[in-house]
Amino acid sequence: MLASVSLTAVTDTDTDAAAIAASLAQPRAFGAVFERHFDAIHRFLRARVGAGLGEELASETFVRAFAARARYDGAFEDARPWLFAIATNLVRAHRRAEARRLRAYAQLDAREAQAPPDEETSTRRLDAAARGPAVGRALAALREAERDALLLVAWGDLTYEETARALDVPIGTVRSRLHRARAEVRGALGEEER
Amino acid sequence: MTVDEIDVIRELRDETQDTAARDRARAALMSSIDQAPAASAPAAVSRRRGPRRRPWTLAIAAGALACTAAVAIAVLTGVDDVSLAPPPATAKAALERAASAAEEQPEPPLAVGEYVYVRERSAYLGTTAGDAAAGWSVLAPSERETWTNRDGGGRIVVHPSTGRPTFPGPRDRERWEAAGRPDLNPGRSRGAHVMRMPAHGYTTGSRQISYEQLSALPSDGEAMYRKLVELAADAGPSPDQEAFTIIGDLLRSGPVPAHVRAGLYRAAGHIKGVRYAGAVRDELGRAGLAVELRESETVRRLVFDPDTSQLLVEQERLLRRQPYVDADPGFVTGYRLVLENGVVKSDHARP
Repeated sequence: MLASVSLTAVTDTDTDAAAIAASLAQPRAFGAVFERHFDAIHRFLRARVGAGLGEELASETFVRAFAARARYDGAFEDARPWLFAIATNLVRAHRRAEARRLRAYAQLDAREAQAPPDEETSTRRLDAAARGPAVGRALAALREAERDALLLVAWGDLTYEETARALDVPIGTVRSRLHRARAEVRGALGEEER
Repeated sequence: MTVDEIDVIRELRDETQDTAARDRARAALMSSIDQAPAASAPAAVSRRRGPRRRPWTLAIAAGALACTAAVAIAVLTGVDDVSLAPPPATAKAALERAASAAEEQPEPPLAVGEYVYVRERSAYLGTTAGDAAAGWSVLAPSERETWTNRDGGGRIVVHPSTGRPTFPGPRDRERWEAAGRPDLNPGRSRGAHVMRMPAHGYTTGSRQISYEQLSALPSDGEAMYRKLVELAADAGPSPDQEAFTIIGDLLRSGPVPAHVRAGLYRAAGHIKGVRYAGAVRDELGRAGLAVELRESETVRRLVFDPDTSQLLVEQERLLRRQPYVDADPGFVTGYRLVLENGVVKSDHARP
């Protein structure tokens, strides 16, 4: 017996590429891309420029992505590198805000670790607070291109290949930038622990 | 205590979800969506193959390019150490030979619809994240094909399965084995990876420049050097080091007119610290001249054919032992070997 077949028209939004392609004719299909990735983009931007501006830029990222969707290369199912590229470009226009945010990390102290939801989180927060000043100073001292690569990996959770795509540079360039950036941060942490 | 710096940075990220912010952003997006007309689909990519036109397409046959420098020739394998005879010439003299060769081979400008095609093999030292006392480093080579048009846009195909991963030293192999011998090249199982390059011009330091701006760069070495330092701005560890990077990037893969190619070679001779490193032969048997720039931990080298002005190899080697890798000075931590290039008529065609 044949399985029953739904005759309802279905918009294929299983992948980002499919959702973006569908949105060319049915613009609201782009909502699937928003629902999948807003939290990640928001976390990334909040970490880079702070809560207020982070929310504004996260919202702007998706508005710009929607406006540029006709130029999206459908060969890539996952739109995260594209979205993080837009978000990173927005951060570049707000370098002063990012500098303020990095100075705030440099002024972290253990009081910020109060009232954690559980013991594991508590320990992580305390560690982060203890290392925050050194990490904040190290991030602020990095070249912009190196900081972009490092934070796409650390705060955007992108792979090296995805970072290369987001920054539109060869993967070898990403590796060398990350190598230098990690060495700088490692050095700063080492000095802090001595 | 040893910690991984990526994890430390990640700990600073606030993981909480802000549903109110999400709702506000969704409303802003939907407002934008509802005001927008339906967009038209992008044009299909042409798959038409075009004939090879450029006279400077590289021959990859072993020994195809003869070197006339009467000096000792060392083998440059891309991953092996290299010992060179004492350099008999200055960097400026070596670079001027390539610059003059470039000027003797004028080329038509890259036309709309044409692509510069480059096939290269590269590997860069990758170090595992996590506990630094248990992590290992490895060089995993891959091949990459790039098609670049006048606007800087185009297509990249990465073939990750084209080489055997190499450990820098026994410590790295032992740690990898202790970790259960995880796959060193997980990209292999996925096959070729295709990426699309947006038409954003050419990245030079911290700036993007157009094809017209690229074509307007000078042939004079001093003037080009000043321009490269200006383009470098705050990218890279220093303007000089970034200028050296820009020169390598443009010579390797940019649609660079002959006079600009000449200017780039001459400019390299104006970078403080650039020295002539002798004549070498790469793993394809091609002979070339090498210039290099010492940095804090590594020395970077450009190898070029002085008679055709083609860049053959970029290479980075350790200057001294480093805590993050079990390797001696001279160990190659990264390289890009240009295998083939030329101008083609579509972003799927090969010379």
